[in-house]
Amino acid sequence: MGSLSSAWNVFYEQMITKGGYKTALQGLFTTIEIAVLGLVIGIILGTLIALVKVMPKNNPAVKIGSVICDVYVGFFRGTPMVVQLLLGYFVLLPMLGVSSDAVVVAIIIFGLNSGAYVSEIMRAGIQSVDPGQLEAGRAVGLPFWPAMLKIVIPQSIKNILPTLGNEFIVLIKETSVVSFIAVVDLTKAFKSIGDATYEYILPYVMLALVYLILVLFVTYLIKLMERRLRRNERTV
Amino acid sequence: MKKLISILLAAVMLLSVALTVASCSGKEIYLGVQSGTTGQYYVDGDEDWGFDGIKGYASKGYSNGGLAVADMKNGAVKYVVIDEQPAKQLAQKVAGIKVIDVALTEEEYAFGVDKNQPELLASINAILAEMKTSGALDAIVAAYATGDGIKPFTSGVKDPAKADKQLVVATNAAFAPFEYKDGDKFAGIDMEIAAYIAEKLGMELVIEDMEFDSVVSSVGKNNVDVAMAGLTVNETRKEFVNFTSSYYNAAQMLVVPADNTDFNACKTAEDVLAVLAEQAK
Repeated sequence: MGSLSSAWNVFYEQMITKGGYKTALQGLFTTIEIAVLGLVIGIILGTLIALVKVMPKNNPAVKIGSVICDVYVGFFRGTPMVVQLLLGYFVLLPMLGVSSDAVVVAIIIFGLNSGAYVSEIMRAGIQSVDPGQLEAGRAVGLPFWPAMLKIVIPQSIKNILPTLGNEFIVLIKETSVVSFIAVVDLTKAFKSIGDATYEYILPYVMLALVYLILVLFVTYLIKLMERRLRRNERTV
Repeated sequence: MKKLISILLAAVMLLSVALTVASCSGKEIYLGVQSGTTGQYYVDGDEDWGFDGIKGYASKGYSNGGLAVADMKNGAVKYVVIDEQPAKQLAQKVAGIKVIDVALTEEEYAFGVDKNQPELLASINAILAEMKTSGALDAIVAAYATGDGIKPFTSGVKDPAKADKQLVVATNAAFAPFEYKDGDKFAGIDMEIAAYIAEKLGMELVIEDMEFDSVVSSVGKNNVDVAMAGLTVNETRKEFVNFTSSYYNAAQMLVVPADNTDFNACKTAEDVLAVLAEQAK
């Protein structure tokens, strides 16, 4: 295993002695930043879209809104994330004549993409709540929106939390493509170590480990949250 | 109706299976290249570049030369075609491979400048000319040949508010010795020339590290001023950028396993191509 120990020496030199860990830490931060902010935008957008989709369709404005949402969800679910990033950064931004930080573009595209998926998760969640709940709220005199926001949505969030956690994990892992628009994320940071040394085993194994630890940690947090939300339930 | 659709679907599936089988049984041999580089066009043939392609061979693109060589050792590609300097760097650092020291092409590296900034093009050309006469350029190239006196540096942070005080350079830092990451710093011949130019211009240098395929098309967008990525001058790229005068004469070379002796007698590109043609039969 002489080659492995020399691979370790090369890796150690790039990572520790020459300060590669700074890039890796920055990359880790960028990865988390894009995934977290992307999810926040996604949840806000997704909830709005889901609400439009479940609203009673007796108003022409709602019908038009629903069609727009369908087109949006169709586009963002029907094209790969990389293509959306490239379109956004290299086509749309120059066309609009604005320049922006690539990380900001990545966050927006991830938010839009995640919004499309979260909208479907949310819709399923809202529809999983017994319609009687909304009717009861309306019966005691609550208008549609307060009844929705105070009675239906809180219950649906509890139902969709595992799926939402899943979406977050997917987002974390999908950030590995942002180097296409010159963002240095976790993957890019470890890749450049391999590219500088031509030793790929250690950088890639370490990279996988970092993602794994990150996702396991997130899974643990979601579990804690679920437990907290189940406190009011009857134990069987 | 349903029957018709199912028959159609079955036919499509059968056809796709047949096509897959046919494409696998084809006699094509793969040569590893770095995606989007001259080597890829050289292997596959391209009108704009004036390359006929290598008959019986097809390219397999990797995100850098190191991975292409790793896959050659795995047996997925027969040889690797890559630029001279990266090829020699690879042979130095990776065990079990060697470079066939025959220039397959003649090409010139230059920087690609934003078409909307003719003043920047003129000033970079002036600085390059000064670097050539003063020996500063040779000194940088020599430093990377010996490994002595290389000066890695940290990139600035891009700030759209300071766009006219920053020189934003697009590159793909996976192309040693022209551009690569040395720990958390940037190093390489192109990178040090970039640092020299930025200093002369009195601007802050910002390096944007991206995939090679995106480098040329990124120029002129999102404040990127110049592409510096071991770019070979060619007609297609001229549609996107204005090239500076060239700063390096390069060539494509073949990287083969160390125990390969087939190319020992080769003196010219024709000899190498003749051996390749023989093996494709």
